[in-house]
Amino acid sequence: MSAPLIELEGVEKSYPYFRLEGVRLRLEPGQVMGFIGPNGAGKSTTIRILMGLIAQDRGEVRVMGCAMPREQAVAKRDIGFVSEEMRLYGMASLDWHMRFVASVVPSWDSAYAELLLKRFDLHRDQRTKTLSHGQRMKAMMLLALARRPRLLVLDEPMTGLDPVARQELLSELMQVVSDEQRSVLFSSHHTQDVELISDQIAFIDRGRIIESTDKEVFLDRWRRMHAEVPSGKSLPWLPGVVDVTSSGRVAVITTKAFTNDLPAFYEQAGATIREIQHMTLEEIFVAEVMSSRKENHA
Amino acid sequence: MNAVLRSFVAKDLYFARPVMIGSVLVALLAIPLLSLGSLGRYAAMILMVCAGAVPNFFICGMLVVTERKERVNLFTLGLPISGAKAALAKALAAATAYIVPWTVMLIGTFVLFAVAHAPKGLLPFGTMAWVFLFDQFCLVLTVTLTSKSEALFSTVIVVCNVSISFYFYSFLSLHVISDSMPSAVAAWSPFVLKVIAIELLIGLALLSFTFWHVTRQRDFI
Repeated sequence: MSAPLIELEGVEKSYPYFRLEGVRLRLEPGQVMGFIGPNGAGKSTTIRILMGLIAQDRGEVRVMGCAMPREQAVAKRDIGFVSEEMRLYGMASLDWHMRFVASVVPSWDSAYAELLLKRFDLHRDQRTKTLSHGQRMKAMMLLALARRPRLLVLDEPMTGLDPVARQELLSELMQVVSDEQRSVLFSSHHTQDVELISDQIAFIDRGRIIESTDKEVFLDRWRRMHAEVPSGKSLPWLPGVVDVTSSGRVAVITTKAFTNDLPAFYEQAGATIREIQHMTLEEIFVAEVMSSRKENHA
Repeated sequence: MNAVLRSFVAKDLYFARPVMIGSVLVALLAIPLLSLGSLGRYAAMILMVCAGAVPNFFICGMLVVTERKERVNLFTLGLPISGAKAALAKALAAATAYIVPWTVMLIGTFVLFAVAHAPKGLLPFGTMAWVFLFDQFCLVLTVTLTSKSEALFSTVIVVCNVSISFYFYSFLSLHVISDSMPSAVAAWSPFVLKVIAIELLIGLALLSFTFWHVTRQRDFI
């Protein structure tokens, strides 16, 4: 197996009111990782560390086999980076930006850039300060994609986009990820986008990675069981159960470690399982963050 | 200098171009004023001060402060360049954008005074003041590249602006300066040469500190 494209081990970074603690993250070639977390969870800080824009206080960071931030110039030759916070030179045209990136990145693909210009309906002579938010994100995506990078790092690229622009960018991303040699790290707090394109999931909250695993396995492990409970009976908290909410005789059990034995255990405890549901990534995200916060308080 | 660093410097010089050209144009406007008596010379001096001082704030403000504030640096730092090299390119570009027109105007002034047979007594103090404006540029560049504080940037600009008046008042009240100004011959007294040397040393020390500091930074955002 080839070396991971992203490897973070025990990464820490402290600010006066925020701390990234023991971050461990791994992205293999060809994988698409959805990096999910609430606002202020540490997604952008983690991404900036792995891009070499800020230095970690402790821990090891290797991207494309390069130690970061020391070897960032080499690593970034093969990384396309787009951030929602990123801006272009307002007085310069998109054409100027394309020529500038082409002058510093040998892998620039002019034909693909032309194709993306048409596909995104962008005008090369337009000054970037006159672009709308959606057009700006498309322009930045064009500048990143036309470099043909092996790794795409996208920090909240869909934030603030209208549904059409979002769909256009997602379609292009889907095409990029269909190439199995390319990897994507995609941070967002919009779980629908992540669920659509990623095959790996990493959750971050309050500066700590609380889960990092394969998406399908992850989605399969989380279930919500609706049970009927005789009055006076209370349901046990079995390992992996993150929440039990009762309302009268109806209880909803949320678990992150579902096995086929679990309903039988609750049946033995006196409950009648009425329904077992899969959960959406958004529901899991909320449940995971809430459960992690509860554990921290306890 | 490697190709990426060169591209980064060229990019900033492209954006600084209007300021570079503008400052030389303002200095050119001063030439016809020199022949209009003492009032004309005073106006020419004001224009020269503008040509030397104003680009300083524009160059540092535009190339460093605005780029950082508007997060354009996220775009540039996403390209294959280290943060330290990007900061070095910025310092090099800003220094070039200021020093090239500054040198052209300095040499141009000497040539003009020689060709036009103008009273050369103005030259020693003019050179002192011109190097002082270079020091101001170095100070502003140092502050913008070593600190992210916009309040500090604004404060330094105000201090620089006010200090020009103090500089002129302080030195023009000295006989060693003022007595020789109307003279047809430039009096390069030891005092004048010492002041120019100290000013140059201060400017070079500030630039050296800036280059040293930017290559040792760890966080670039």
